[in-house]
Amino acid sequence: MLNPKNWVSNYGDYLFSIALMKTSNTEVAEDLVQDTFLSAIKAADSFKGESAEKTWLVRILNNKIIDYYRKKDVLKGTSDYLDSTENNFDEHFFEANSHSEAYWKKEAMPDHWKAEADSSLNQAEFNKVLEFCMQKLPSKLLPVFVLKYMDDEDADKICKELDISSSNYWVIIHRAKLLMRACLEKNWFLNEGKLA
Amino acid sequence: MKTIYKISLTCKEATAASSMKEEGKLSLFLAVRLFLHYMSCPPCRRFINQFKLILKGIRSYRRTASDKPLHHLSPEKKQSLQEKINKLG
Repeated sequence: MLNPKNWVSNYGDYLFSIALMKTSNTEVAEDLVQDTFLSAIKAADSFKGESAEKTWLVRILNNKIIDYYRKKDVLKGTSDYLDSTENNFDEHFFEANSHSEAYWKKEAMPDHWKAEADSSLNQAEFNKVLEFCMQKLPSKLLPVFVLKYMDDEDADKICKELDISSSNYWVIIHRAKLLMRACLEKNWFLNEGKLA
Repeated sequence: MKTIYKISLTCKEATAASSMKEEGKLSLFLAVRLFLHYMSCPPCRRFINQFKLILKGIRSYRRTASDKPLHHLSPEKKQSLQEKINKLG
């Protein structure tokens, strides 16, 4: 059944990688892995053997990560943050014209990508650039981006889990996509893996 | 032209609406306005297509990451973790 003596060697790096990807913070990720193992031991009775040990531990870790997002001030003041940064953000990407067409700023406009800059050509390098760009996302945008694109959760579930409004959800997704696209363009699709 | 301006979305609105479309949360009216915007806006079309490529990259990343860990705990951290587990277990 459960074999805690082998947990660290069997699953330590795996759980750590998930936690690091979802928090972009080494210390936080280490703490979350430790919390996961310690909670798992306390909850060992609830392990029914219906899922693999690894799956069960990942589920505990994912719950810890949601708790971290909610409790550790990560998302506190999200509305204020989004309001106070809105103008700067818009000005970075879009022209503010007096008529109703707000066009892309020249330097922010999606460029033509090289056809050969496909991520599958050098996945290991692309992975590094992807993680680099996720680390550069503002901390208030990262949780929503992770739950949507790494865990495939939908808007309703994410809003409920993170206790954010649906309008904030859409603003966060919009900004995260603009930032990720711009970062990946700069560091991968136009320059192929040369981190700027 | 005046009517077109009213119906057509700005690039900011169009890129925002594209995410709602991804999740099937776009009203028909907004979907039509988004389509009309795409017709006349190559950069926004590139934005959509490029994000599809990015999603492909993210999916590959997830596959790689589920096969083998991309990061490693330090040996010291592993040892201290195992000691804590042994104490409890």
